[in-house]
Amino acid sequence: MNLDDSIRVVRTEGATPDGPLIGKYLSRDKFERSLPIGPALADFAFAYDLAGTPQLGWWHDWRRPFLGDVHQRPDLDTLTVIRPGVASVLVDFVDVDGTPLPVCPRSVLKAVVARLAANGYTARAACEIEGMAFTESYAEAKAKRFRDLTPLGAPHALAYLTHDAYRMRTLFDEVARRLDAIGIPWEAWSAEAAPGQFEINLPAQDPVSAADTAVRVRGVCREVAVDLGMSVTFMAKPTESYGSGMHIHHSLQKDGASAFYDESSPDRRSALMRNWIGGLIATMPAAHAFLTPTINSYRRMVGFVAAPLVVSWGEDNKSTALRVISRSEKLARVEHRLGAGDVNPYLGLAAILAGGIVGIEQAIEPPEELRALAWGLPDRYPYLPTSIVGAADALEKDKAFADAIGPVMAEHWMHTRRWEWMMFHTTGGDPEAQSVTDWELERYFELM
Amino acid sequence: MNIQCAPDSPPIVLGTAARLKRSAAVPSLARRMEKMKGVLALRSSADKQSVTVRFDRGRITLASGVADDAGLVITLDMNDANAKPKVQGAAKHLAFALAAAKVLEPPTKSWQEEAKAFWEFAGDWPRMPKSMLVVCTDDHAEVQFGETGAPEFELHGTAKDLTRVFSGDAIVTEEWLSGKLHGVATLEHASVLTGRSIAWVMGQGR
Repeated sequence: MNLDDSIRVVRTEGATPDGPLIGKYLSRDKFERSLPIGPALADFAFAYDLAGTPQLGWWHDWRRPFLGDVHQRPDLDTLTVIRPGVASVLVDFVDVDGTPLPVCPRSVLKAVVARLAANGYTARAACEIEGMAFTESYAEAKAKRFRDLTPLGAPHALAYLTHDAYRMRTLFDEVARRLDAIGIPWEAWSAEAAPGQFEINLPAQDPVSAADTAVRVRGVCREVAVDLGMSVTFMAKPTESYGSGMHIHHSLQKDGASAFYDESSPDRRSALMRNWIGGLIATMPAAHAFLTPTINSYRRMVGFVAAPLVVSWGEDNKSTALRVISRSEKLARVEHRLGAGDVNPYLGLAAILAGGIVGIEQAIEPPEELRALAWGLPDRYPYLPTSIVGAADALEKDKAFADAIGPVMAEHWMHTRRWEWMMFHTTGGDPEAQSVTDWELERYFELM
Repeated sequence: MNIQCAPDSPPIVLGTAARLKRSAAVPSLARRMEKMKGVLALRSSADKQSVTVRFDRGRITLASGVADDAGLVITLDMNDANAKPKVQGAAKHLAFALAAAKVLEPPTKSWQEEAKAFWEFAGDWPRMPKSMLVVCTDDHAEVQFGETGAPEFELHGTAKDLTRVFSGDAIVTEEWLSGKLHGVATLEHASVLTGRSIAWVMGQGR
């Protein structure tokens, strides 16, 4: 390999299922000697919850019966210089013999993309990242127990205010500068509806690159915040104002042309797109477990404030879970609006593509399009699970979805979501609380 | 006897329901429960968990939280089995309080019998050890469950601590990590056994 001569240190980083990036700073010599399998980490890095408590209660063969190692196999195509002398590379977690871990989020997404390819299709995807920024440093925020923080920008609950964005420019001018410098693509940023809230729009890429970009952009936001003495969180609902989501746009191609668009169809949706929507709808309760991953994610699910509540789709309907756009070949896509701000981009994308794959492999026809607001609907509409255990139960029941995303990943995730629920109840979370609890802020603010 | 709670109830609700089911399996306590009428709440002093239990002459329902009409409110440290609970309302509802104290503390059998019941519940679960040796450190008595030969899993402790774990009053790993119990196990077996122990505490298999 040809590393730039100026590089002295390489940071390896890969996402755990919960989302945080883990890795090591390696000397150039150690990094080069570790190739191709990469440096080792204790496999327990994949068996701790976000508070550092070992997750016990289930088992899979990728784990060692005592305590062992896993490796971080660098994807050298992602190597980029992040500051003078220091490079960063994204990794896949593999076993000691180089086999991808079945619970490595990036590997799970790669496997789903490969299954899509086996069906004859490629995908493009783009993430919309939402988060919140505060003027307090992480240490100051922690000292205040993450309560009553000062939002960066103006304290108005209005979206898109350029005046508000101007007051956030110290942070985001630097974020944009660094992204440009390290070659991470981005399209736009703006102030969002909640005080301190922002949105960053990323370009359409192949799914793995789209997820790589999303995790790196989040990482750059956090690092710039650290350097400027501010704090940023991608928690779904850190305050009482609007929550943060991650809408994921995606489309399918075959032989270089849109597989979603059919000029001859009355609604311009191809049969493939109908099956794709049918699969996303049929698997949505199970996919919900991945797209809405934490105790805090569910606090975002409130009617009439952007988050979808029912299994639904509609043409250019931003209240439904799936906003379908089919008015032109160039624009034909699905905007999946269920993802919470704290979703792991690899697993969120894998869950979406897995659901679509189920739809095309089983030729599932979608239910009728919802031509109404998808909020405040009566009980006869299919509401999504409203708790982390409800979604875990749905995941356990959906064998076709589990097969598509990977049975080991599905089972591991089901167990970890139930674990998260148990930890909330038995380590200080308040089940009667109607708003974000101290337990959630302590557990998620700095890591999500 | 009809003991009901929602399947997705919090752990304290499921755990309390499990204890009541254990009491209901004892004829004298079942008769007492058939007569009980009143509302009590249990509140954890260690965390935010709480449960309201409604007794209505054999029909018992449990729900998360402390209901406004709870005549008896018991606050206890869920992390310390020896801690003395604080009770509000006992003077006004004395008979109900005495009955509640009985049915919320189901009697246990010998550690050997409790271990046997646990093994019958958990032994066939996928990835469980094929054999489990339990050693009582009070008198060095031991019982092996499952296959004969060298055990795949060993657990050592006093009769009191073994009884707590196998009856479903405590989770095996917590007692192991705290030093009350000692074991010889792979991480795989410890993990899977923990899953079964949690399920046992939450009332599965009852």
